[in-house]
Amino acid sequence: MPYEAQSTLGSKVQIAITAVDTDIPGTQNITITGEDNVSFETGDIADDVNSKKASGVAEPGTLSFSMLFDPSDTVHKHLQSVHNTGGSGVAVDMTVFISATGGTRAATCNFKKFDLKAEKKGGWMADVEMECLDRWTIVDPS
Amino acid sequence: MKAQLTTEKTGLNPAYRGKEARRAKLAGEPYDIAPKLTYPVGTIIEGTAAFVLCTLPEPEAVPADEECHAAVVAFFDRPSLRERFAMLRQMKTPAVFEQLPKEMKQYVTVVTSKWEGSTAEKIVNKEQTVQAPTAGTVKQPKASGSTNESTD
Repeated sequence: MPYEAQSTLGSKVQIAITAVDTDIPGTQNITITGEDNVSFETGDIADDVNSKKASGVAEPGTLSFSMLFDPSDTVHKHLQSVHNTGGSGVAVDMTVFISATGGTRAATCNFKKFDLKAEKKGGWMADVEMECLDRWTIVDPS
Repeated sequence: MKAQLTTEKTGLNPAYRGKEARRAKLAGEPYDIAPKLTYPVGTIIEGTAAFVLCTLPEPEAVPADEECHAAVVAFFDRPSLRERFAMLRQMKTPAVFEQLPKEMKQYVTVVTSKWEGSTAEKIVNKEQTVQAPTAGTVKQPKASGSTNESTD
């Protein structure tokens, strides 16, 4: 079940820099998918479903968020630099904290998108999309 | 390059395998490898991006070798950084701030709240210097986070 934090209210996204989790400032609209505890065998699926499912296979997780991009912020620049130099070929460890529950999810992800835009009335915004190499690890199940 | 942590941090445990943990959980077997490691204060971290932790608004590490020290000094010594801080200060003055659109007010508030009065701003304004490399004791990370209960 995907869920989304429109206003993060203390939730945060972290990127591992030299193996150490570091907060990404100014993140908004955090969406993570692929943490469901789905595990089934083909025989579990009713005969009337119209699509085939591979046995026990689940989709990898995804992570997307936007952020108020600050060109002078060293973490933002690092994120941009990893995307620009490595693109989808570089995997980074990402962690998401869900403030209301204290839950923590972690996964190693590849970049799918890092889009920058500066609108007339606001400052720089970056839209980031990542695809996890595996499903999300529930570090803290809260 | 090397940096030494000044705050306790966590990171993904490279030995943890989600697939094996899920398999163990389904089979009702124990899986004792924690998904996260805790790095205590004083841990030396090494990598090309180690200087990033020393250049946060409130740095979470200090340079531990000359290469890292040089990278941190170079980061804070950029004219573009001083210019940006000056521009943000100007935008926060009441006469200018009141005229900004609502979205720009939010942007300026969020961005400046990170930097105002921070260690990084003091270094950029030459009120403080980057700490010289320190040769600290290397500490080993500890496992953290729940184990067998922790996988999806």
